[in-house]
Amino acid sequence: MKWFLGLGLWFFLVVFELSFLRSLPFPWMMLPCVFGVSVYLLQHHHIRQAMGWIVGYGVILDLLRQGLVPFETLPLLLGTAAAWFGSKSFFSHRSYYGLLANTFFAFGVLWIVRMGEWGVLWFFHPASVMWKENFSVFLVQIPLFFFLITFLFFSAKKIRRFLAMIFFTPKIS
Amino acid sequence: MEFMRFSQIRRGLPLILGGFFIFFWVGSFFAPWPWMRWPQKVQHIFVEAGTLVFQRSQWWSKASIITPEELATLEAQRDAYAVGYAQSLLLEEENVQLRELLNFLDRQPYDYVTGSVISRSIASTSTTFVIDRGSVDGLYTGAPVITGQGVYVGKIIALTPTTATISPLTNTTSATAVSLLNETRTIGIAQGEGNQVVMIHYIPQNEQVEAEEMVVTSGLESSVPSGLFVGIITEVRGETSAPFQEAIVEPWVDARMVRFVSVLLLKEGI
Repeated sequence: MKWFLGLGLWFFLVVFELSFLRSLPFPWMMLPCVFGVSVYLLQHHHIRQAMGWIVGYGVILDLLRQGLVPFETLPLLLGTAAAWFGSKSFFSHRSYYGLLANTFFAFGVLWIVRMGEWGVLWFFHPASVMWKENFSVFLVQIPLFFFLITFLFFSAKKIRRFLAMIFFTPKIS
Repeated sequence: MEFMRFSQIRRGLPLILGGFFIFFWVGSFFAPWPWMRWPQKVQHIFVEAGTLVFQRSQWWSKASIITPEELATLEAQRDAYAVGYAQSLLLEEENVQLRELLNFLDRQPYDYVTGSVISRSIASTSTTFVIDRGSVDGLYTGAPVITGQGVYVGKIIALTPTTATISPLTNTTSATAVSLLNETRTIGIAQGEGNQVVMIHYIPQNEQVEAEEMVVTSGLESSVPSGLFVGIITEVRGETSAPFQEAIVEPWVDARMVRFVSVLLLKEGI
């Protein structure tokens, strides 16, 4: 049941990001909502299903060719793996700073892999890679990601209560 | 027979809802049946809401920075366009009559399919968007996309059975064969610059190109008809000693605000 509830939430998050957030003016269009929420749920609530959410999101992006890189699933997959590894081995699950450190660790890995893909692409088709624009997306996403994680951490109880009210379940984790 | 308790129904509701959403949403990318496509309608509602916020924010930001002089210039331009529009209406009427005489419409090699925007890409200066029509609707890669008013937006770059990804002409990877509505009908290739403008390179110095001239598609591409309005030249660059000059074109349509489009399709057998 939780699995299907999670799928419903994933559907909402992906549609919310791809359709609503990306239609908003700069900089809100760049909020990495699905990645941020998924890494938060993985780190803070140990919801492993969130790893699948990120990969599924990557597949949807590749299917619709809406990703920043041609094969978006790969950086998202490695970003997720980094989040899982950091959550399991390095960072505290409950503290705000542990959460921030792990989510930014995953975010960093995500962007390093993206840069790698752009590097390969640039090697074969230099004109197709706009480094300046790509880097500006990265710079804009850093504060947005920070605010999203901070918002989620300090609103966790409210969010859980809201979800319980919507889906008639006592808790989600 | 024992009826299900309310608590059992309550517990089963997320299961039903989650499964329902996923089945229809993932299915909507591949299934050709129209009744499977309602999740795309949900997506379009989200796009409508986001675009509305974007349009309102643009209006407020522009309203706060415009000066009285700029307003006067814009009003003068509006008046000039109004006169031009009135003249074009007369010409349009005459054109319709002449086309009827020539049975022109039957010989038009293009059909069209309308679609709604259901998602957008992330980049700030170059953007792609997805519509709720795909290969099962007869769309194909490279097909030109226009707005309801017939203004050129871009081309289809990727397809699934029920969705199409569109790259606007402002993207760096987009190139469009265009023609200027000047005396010599200068032709060229409009290359996207990625920052909501398009550049026409390699215009010979002997061509008379000026700002505020209109740019339309030239029809030199097999899939794109001629005469689709692209935009207006805002600046012409180039030293007189240089062999070529280049023109900066501001597209008439901002792809970030497009919500509905039409895709032009070549009629079969023509």
